[in-house]
Amino acid sequence: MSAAAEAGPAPSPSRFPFRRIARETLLLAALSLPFAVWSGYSELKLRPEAPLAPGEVLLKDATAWGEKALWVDARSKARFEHKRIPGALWLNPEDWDPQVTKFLDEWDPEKHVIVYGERNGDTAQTVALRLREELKIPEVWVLHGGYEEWQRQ
Amino acid sequence: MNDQPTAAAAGAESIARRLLDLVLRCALGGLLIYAGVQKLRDLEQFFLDVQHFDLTPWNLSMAIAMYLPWLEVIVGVALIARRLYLGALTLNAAMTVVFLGAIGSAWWRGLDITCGCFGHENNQTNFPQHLALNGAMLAATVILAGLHRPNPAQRT
Repeated sequence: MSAAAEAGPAPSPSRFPFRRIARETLLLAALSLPFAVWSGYSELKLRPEAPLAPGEVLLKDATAWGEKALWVDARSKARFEHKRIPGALWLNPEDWDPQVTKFLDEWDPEKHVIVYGERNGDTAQTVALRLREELKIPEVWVLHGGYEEWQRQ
Repeated sequence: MNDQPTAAAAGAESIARRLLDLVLRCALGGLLIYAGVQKLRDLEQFFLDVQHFDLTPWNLSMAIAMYLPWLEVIVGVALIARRLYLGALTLNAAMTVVFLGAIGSAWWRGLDITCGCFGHENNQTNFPQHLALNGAMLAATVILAGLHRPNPAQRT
């Protein structure tokens, strides 16, 4: 008997290696998993919660104000138009004067003004500062964690 | 006697194929490792970048943010080391197709976002540039898969 006959039928070279691809894909995906779990654990559990900065308010306290809250979106206009906190007004330093007029139409001294921006941006702080200093509105707060905090909740 | 030039041509073709394979593998693998490491440097920001695509709920965005950078690094290493190679090519093709879909959809919806593809950027994503890069990565993956198929001349 020849060596080729002893080895049995040779696999067809044109046969697509589905099983091998599936096995290797799953193995690589599984290899990434422990690292991802470790990353998730260190991000969620080990990273300390950012402290509340002066003038910031937690989302639960801001939502407790209910109708007495006036939400101000300090993000870019495109992001505001795409998604926002219901009832929020857009007020961004890039287009300040026309928007401030609209803001003053909605503002009521009884209301708490809550400005929100991106989680890691300082636009909300800038807008809040201008409202306090230029318009002399005392009850201006910045939402801790920004719009992402609202989305998360 | 006529076999000698044919053998030389086949040898030169084989060297060219190997060289192309090496260059593409290292470029693609290196790019994936770079992209993964850049994301790992600030996972919280990458999570926000994923969220801004507005395609996935909060929990899924979090899972993607934690998992995707590691997958990119491991697939990149597998491509360069040529280990679990077909799986690495498949995963890379799948990731690239998903990226093309996500970036294309963000562009179509006119979103003002940074894609977070190579870590966080301060400027809005240049959508055509990112689509072209992902298209090139997909083309490289297809070429690598083609190069991996045994040469018909070597089968006989």
